[in-house]
Amino acid sequence: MTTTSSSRGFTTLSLTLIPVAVAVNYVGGALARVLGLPLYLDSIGTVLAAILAGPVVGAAAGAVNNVFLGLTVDATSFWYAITSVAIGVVAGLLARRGWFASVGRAVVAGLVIALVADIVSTPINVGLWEGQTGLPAGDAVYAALLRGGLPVWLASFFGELVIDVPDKLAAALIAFGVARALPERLRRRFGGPVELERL
Amino acid sequence: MSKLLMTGVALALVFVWPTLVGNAAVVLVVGVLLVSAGVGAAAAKAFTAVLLAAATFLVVQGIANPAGATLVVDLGPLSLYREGLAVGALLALRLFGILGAMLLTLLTTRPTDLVEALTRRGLPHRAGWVLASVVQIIPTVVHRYSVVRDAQAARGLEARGSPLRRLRAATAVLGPVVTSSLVAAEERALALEVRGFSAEGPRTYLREEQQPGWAPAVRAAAVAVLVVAVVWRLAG
Repeated sequence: MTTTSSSRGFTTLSLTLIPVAVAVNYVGGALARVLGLPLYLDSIGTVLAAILAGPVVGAAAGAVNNVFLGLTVDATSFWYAITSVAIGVVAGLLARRGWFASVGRAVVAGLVIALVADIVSTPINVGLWEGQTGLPAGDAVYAALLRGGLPVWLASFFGELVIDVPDKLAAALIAFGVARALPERLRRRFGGPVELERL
Repeated sequence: MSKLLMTGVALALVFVWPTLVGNAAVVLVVGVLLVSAGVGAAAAKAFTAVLLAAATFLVVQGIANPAGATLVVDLGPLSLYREGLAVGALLALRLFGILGAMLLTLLTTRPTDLVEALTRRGLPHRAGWVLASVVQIIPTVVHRYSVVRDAQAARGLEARGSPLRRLRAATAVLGPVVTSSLVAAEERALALEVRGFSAEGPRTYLREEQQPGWAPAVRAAAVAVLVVAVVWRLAG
């Protein structure tokens, strides 16, 4: 089957990847509950799409994910679409440079993604809700730091970090594991890195 | 599109009129509109879902906001201050305002209708397809997920234990789900290509667009309200 490329650079195949990524993001939450993990795991799909098809598709998957969620389940997700885009871009760029080739590297990638996600989310948090994260763990840290005299945006940054690091780290590792478990034919088909294991 | 405009105006008002009274007014009007549209129950559900977040705004700002000076409730380091509570209340109302504004369109419009309206006005049809297909694909993937989850559990997959083991369990469940979903995506891409998905050129629509007679009037009214609010704000 020929993969015709549009002027925008999205093959039909990569477009069909995006809804799958959103669905995987969606399932991630249910999975987290089943496994008793206090995480969101709602970016596994975005990271996976980025690993398989690159930063542009990853970004698109992130955008569609939050726009879609924002329009159906959780209206506030809509405003964090750009965070998901950032996650997709960073994950894709890291994957291109081989940062998802081993577990150790995936850990580093996860930390970088967490940092970027935090940096992008903080202005949105500050603009919308004075920097609060909306979650108990993050807000506890935020409140403590705020009382301690830190400026709002710093308190917000660290509050969000407490949430983002475990979540994005887990997402990166799971995405890495899943990508590695995929049949090589599929990985190649969607344009991703074929060598995922250093022997 | 009128609905989108109303939503946009309501959203803008939340920020143009950032006082307790202002935001409360927006929430009230939006609430009335939602109820009159017959979606009161669904809206109530959405609002209760964010109740916890709204409560945390109130409490956290009440305790930690640096502008706090007037004591309301003395709980030692967790004392609540009036200024902080006021800010918290504003944030909570803002949350309700944004949520309500978005619900105005979302609860009264079918996703595919919305996508179609946007496509008619310039959204690339392939982007429109992506948005519309998410709705249809999620239930399929969720079903696959529950099947795989049960299958792995029957094979003795450990869902508890060290974090590392749980991550491995997650991979063991998601691996098959993603593989079969990607294979399906391949087939979908082929089916789309065969139907001329990537062909450029104008598309025809199955249905005719219908605009209710009052649409232009509603649009004009919405814009007028926004203009008045902005002018009033700027005039001090």
